[in-house]
Amino acid sequence: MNPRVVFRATAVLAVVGGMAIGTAPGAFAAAAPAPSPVSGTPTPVSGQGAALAALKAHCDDAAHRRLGSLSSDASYVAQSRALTGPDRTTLAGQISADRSGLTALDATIQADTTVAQARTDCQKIVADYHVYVLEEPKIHEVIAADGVTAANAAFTKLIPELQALINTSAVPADQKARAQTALEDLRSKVTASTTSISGVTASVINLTASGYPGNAVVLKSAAQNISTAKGDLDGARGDVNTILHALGH
Amino acid sequence: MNNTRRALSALSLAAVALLSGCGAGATGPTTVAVPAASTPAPTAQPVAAAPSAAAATVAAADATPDPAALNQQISDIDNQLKVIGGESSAAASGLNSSEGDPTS
Repeated sequence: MNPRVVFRATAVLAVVGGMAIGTAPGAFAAAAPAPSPVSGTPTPVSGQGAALAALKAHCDDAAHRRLGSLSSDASYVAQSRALTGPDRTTLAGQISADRSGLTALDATIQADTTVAQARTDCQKIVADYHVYVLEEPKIHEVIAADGVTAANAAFTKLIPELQALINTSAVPADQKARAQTALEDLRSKVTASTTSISGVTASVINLTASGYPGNAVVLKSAAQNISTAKGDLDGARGDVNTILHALGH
Repeated sequence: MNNTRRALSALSLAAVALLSGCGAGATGPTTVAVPAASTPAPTAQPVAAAPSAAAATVAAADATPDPAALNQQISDIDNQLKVIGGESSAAASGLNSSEGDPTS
């Protein structure tokens, strides 16, 4: 029989027996009184056993919550149009490794025989993966950084076409001049965005949970660079509007 | 008769000047298009030779972009900016979150 099922069953028994477990910090460490036998159940559960079962149930939930998030992340990364091929491959590999590791860790926890052992292993669900504060922000930052790079390229392609539009426009000279000024501003903003985003993906994509929380500063720095680049790109987009408006489009 | 001969002679000189690319009438695309450093010997070049790369560049810079293509490019950029904004927010949200403690 699957040990996880047994442990879940004992946790349910404990609750049925009137134990208020899992509702307060330290609940798992306390030795609870043995529950009254429930008619039709095979084995009465000791206090220690109930606490262990409840802890395992909590850990199982925590692991599965993260596995669910990682599963969504895997789909998200697979479908993201902003990611470059190599970055997609790297992130997909990391997510896959996390899913395998967490699944194995959960099995280990469910096989633990003492509360202390289960507690130690359970803490690894957070410490060894940092799914929510490291892996997921990292994934989003890589997608954002790749998106900035793609947008820079798109603007760079657009610039000569806007220049041609200005050159061939029949609008009065002052309007042309306004368009040309906006185009120069657009150029400088794309250059600034390119500078801001340079190296961002490389700085975060291989950050690991073992380096957390020390490497959180790298994530925060990357977020700042992405934000700065995004501000420049928004400005560049505004310049496009100015150009088109000045040229009567 | 003399006038006719003189006129024919002038036409002949003008034709030679055009073919050699250095006459008064040789200010068309061929002259503009061919840079001195890469100009081949102008011996048998016809006046209506294909435009050079330089001429093509000038033409491209002055060509009016296709409005539909331009709009598509701008629309693509708008979508990219939306993605960047969304991902930035999601990353910030994660950075400001906490893992919780599954043992408590």
